[in-house]
Amino acid sequence: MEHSDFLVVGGGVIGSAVACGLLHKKCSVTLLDAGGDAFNASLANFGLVWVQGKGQGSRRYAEWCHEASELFPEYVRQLETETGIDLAYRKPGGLVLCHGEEEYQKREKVLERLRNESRHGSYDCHMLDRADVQKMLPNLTLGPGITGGSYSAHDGYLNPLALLKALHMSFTQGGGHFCSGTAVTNIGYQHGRFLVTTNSGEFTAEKIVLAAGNAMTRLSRMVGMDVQVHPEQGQLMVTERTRPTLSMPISGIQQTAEGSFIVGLSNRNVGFNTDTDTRLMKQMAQRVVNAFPALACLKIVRSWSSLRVLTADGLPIYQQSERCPGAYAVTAHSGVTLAPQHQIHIADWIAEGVQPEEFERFSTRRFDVEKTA
Amino acid sequence: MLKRLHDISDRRKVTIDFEGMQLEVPAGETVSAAVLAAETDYTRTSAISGVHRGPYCQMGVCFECLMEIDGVPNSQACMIEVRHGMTVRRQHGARGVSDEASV
Repeated sequence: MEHSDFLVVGGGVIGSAVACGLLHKKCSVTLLDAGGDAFNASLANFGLVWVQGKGQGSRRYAEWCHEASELFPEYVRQLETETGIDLAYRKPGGLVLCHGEEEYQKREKVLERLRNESRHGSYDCHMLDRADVQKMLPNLTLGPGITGGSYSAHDGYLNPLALLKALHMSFTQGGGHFCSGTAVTNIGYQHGRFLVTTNSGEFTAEKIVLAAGNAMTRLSRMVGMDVQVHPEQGQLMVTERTRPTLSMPISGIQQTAEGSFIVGLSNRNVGFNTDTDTRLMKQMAQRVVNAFPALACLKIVRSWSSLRVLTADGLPIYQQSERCPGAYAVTAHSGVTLAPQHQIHIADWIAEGVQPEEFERFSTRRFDVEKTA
Repeated sequence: MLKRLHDISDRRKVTIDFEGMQLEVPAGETVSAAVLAAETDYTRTSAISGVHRGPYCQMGVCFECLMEIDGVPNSQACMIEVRHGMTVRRQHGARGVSDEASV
């Protein structure tokens, strides 16, 4: 039986970032990844490092994302130096396009709300009229229905597959033990230690971190927590490669470093289902063509769907179990954007008990308050 | 070099233009088969590294056979039948996107 200081369940981008952070604390860390059948959002996402628009109604979450974006350039530099893997990270800023007047007004209200809720009455993202959006996208003429958009300098993107690969490499190079194809079936707690049963043997650990995406609801109950998440399906399409054309990522439309356009503009509540829907693809393609008529000539070469991991209010949950101290739940929808926060601050919290500012806002206690109110 | 397994002498022929060369090929054949049979060294350069590439799977899966066919870039040559008067060009790197192309 293998024993370690920390056992991290879930080898996606969140679990791997936390595991790398814990490894830097000179602890022994084992990372279990179910692989295969797991609905792995880390392998299927867009790769946006995105700040704008996030955190309506939760100032602390808006700040948490913004801080992550500030940490990102140095975070990527270190990971690339350590592993030699090019993450294709760029921070040119990002745009949300508005189709029609109504969307423009709605977007304006979103930014106004975020500004009003912010600490100093400022939110660094602003509305642009159609002409100014066009200036930011010199290679593609906007469709006639585009009324404008919002721009934030804090947004960017990377290659999410390269990020995951780099985290795994960094973890194993740093002496971490990565166990792929290892699915947790039970977690026991005795004398302050955890005993984890898997499909390939048992593991023991002083502390355990659950970062297993949509398996969180089931696993958290094994350590006396009730951390509820639900899947939300998103569908993506990839086009043939073109020469560099799109100068910055747009919410839902992005050109990769290799030249493919990725399109992802959907969300459906269909449970644990990753079927693709051609009607939805058609709608997504139409919206892209409405934004940029020139892209109508591009062939779509692949499509897939994957499952987002959402909490009831869409915000992250960072929670230690009261019944089984030493068990932690870490879940967030934005695993890519928040990677530096998880590797630096969440690892600090788990290993040393150092809590970031206003950290209780990310605990499950926020849901209790709503119930009793 | 690649040779056709079957005799094509009695097949109806069409003429296609491949990089300025006039190829007489059997009707019903795919563009990639026709171009391979003409002892072509390569049919595209890759979008990232620029290395020479040629058709591989011949069944629409690998995207190695991309060519510019009748002006349409990134066309899968293995999935398109030859037509009389067709113009076939190598695909050089990634295609461009221009506003004119959408009209």
